[in-house]
Amino acid sequence: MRGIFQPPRFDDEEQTRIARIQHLLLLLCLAIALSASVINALLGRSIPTIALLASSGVVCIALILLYTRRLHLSIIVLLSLFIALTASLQFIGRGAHDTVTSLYATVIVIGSLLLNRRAFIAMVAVILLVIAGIVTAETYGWTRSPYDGEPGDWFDLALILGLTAFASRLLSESLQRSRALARKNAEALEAQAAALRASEERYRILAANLPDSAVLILDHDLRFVLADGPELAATGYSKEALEGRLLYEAIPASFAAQVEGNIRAVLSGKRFSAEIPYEDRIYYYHYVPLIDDSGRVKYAMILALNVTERRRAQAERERLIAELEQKNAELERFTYTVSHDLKSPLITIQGFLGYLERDLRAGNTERMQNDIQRIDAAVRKMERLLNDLLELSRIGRLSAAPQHVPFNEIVQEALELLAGRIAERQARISVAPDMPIVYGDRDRLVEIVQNLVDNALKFCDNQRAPDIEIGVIKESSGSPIFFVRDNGIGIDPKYHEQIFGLFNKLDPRSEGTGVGLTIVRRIIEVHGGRIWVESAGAGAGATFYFSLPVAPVLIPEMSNAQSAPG
Amino acid sequence: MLRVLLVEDNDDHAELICRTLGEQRWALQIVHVNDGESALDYLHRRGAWVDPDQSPRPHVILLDLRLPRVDGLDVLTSIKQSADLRRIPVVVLTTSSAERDIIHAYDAHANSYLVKPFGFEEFRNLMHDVGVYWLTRNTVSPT
Repeated sequence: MRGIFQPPRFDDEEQTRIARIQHLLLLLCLAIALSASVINALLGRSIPTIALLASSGVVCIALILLYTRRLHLSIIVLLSLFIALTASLQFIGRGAHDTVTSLYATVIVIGSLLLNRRAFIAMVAVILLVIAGIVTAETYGWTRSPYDGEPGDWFDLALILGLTAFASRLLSESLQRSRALARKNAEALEAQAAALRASEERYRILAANLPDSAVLILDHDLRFVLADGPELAATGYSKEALEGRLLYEAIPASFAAQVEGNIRAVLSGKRFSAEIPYEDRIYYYHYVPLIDDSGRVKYAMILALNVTERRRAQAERERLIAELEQKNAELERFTYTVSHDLKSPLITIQGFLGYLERDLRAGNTERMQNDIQRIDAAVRKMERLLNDLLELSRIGRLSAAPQHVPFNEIVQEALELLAGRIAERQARISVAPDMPIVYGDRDRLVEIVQNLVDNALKFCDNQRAPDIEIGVIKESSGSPIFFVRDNGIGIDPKYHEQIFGLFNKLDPRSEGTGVGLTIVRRIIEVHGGRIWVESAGAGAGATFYFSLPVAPVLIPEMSNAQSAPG
Repeated sequence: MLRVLLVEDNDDHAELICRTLGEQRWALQIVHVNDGESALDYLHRRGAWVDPDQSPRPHVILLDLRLPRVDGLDVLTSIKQSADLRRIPVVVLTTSSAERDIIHAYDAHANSYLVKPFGFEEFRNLMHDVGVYWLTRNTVSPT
């Protein structure tokens, strides 16, 4: 029901506003007209009562027109009523000199608010015409006016009302313009705000989705303006825990103090990058000052990129390259050694073959014997070298699947293989009980012990019986270190590295090709362990130490001492 | 008396060298040591070679490169750095024809670099040339 007595709404905001004013005016006029007619009726004045009731009727028509959305017609009806009423009052009153004439000014002001410019000019023209009519009527004495009308009256009134119309129209139009301007500004502001929201939304999405990154933006108070990114959670902080809070409130003081200097530097306009470890990860920080249109640093942005994986891959690559280079160098040394050591017996064979021929011609049988022996020894040496090389090359490929074996079993097996030589040298061998279980290729592990014990027997001091001790040192890091200790001739510290080299022999006349320790080291390295010797020098005996894994470790073919413990 | 210091770890090669050099009709004295340490002991007159009468300066040193204990290149370096020894000609005589060995040897001021050849005649010819050149043609520095 209430809807009926509401002014209609139009698409155009301006029209809606005018309709509201018109509605108010109509209701006001209706109320005044009705109450005035009641008062006049009570006073027994019939003509004014009728006139007021008629006016009320016209106002009602204007209201109905308004409710049926005929806004302009409604305004014209109301203003016409005003003009007609004023003219009637002038006619029955004192003509152009009557005070009601000033009502025209009111009509003009209302008209200037409600009408468009053309209708307004038309209305003012109508008013001036009506006044002209009144002045004419007064001049001819058709009114009850006691004054004599004259054209000057019309000019005066036309001037006053014209000026009023001009001024009120000017005011009304400037009011309209300001309102339009304000509306446009408001619209522009709203559009700007929307654009800003969209932009912020976009950069938030960007920040939240940068892979492996966290984005932090701080203002000059060191307050987090933005904190986002997939990596943020990994650091134990959340967007909510940081945004809007001060640096020293949000994160522990020690950490805050660590980063404050950098943030202040960014806020002073510096732009830089730094790699900083955090817990078990490595972050690459980009520090970027955010500068506003006037060129001042407004915020400090920190873009933290988790580069742990990248660095790890890089380190791994560098390690592999170093390993490859080392292997390459090793291979080159190997080829060099092999070519040298294989060439030597060939030169010997050819040399003594030549002499054999000469000695044969000369009939020197004694020398011939020597030549043949030399040739024979060289051929045997060549065969041994080839066998050793073959053996060495096989180590890289484990002969059997690795297994857990008690180290005592390995020692036992090795000693059984050497039983003849041990007895021959009358060596005393003591083995520690309950040594750890190791993990590896059983036959190769036996080979290690066999070679080391064999070496100890070979380089014993002829003055006393060999005394060989096999045991273990428990390393704090968990990996056991085994040892084979002898009381033999010892090794000068300057040769401690050399003895492991391929075909390297300290005594050229000793038996063997000089491959034994090379094989031992290779086996241990393939198992991920390492070997070294300790000896005070000549006559002091020697102790060979080596580590072996107790559980499966990654032992690729390319493994080297880096994976060894200790 | 023409003196040669032969530094050679391979006894067979040492005998071949001694025999081929000995075929000439020179009054020849060859001192054979079989590792680098002994060579330096002889030259610096240490250990078993303290007595200068027992270790006269050789007219030429025949030096193998791959030696036990002290490597041939280290022996060469030590000789060439010693004011007493550096004028003694050092002829490197080795199985190695590796480029880096040749470069390192000359860098260490070797006087000659010879690769032990395959074949009896080649070996004999080379040793004959070495003997003729370094023992009879070459003038040694006055001590």
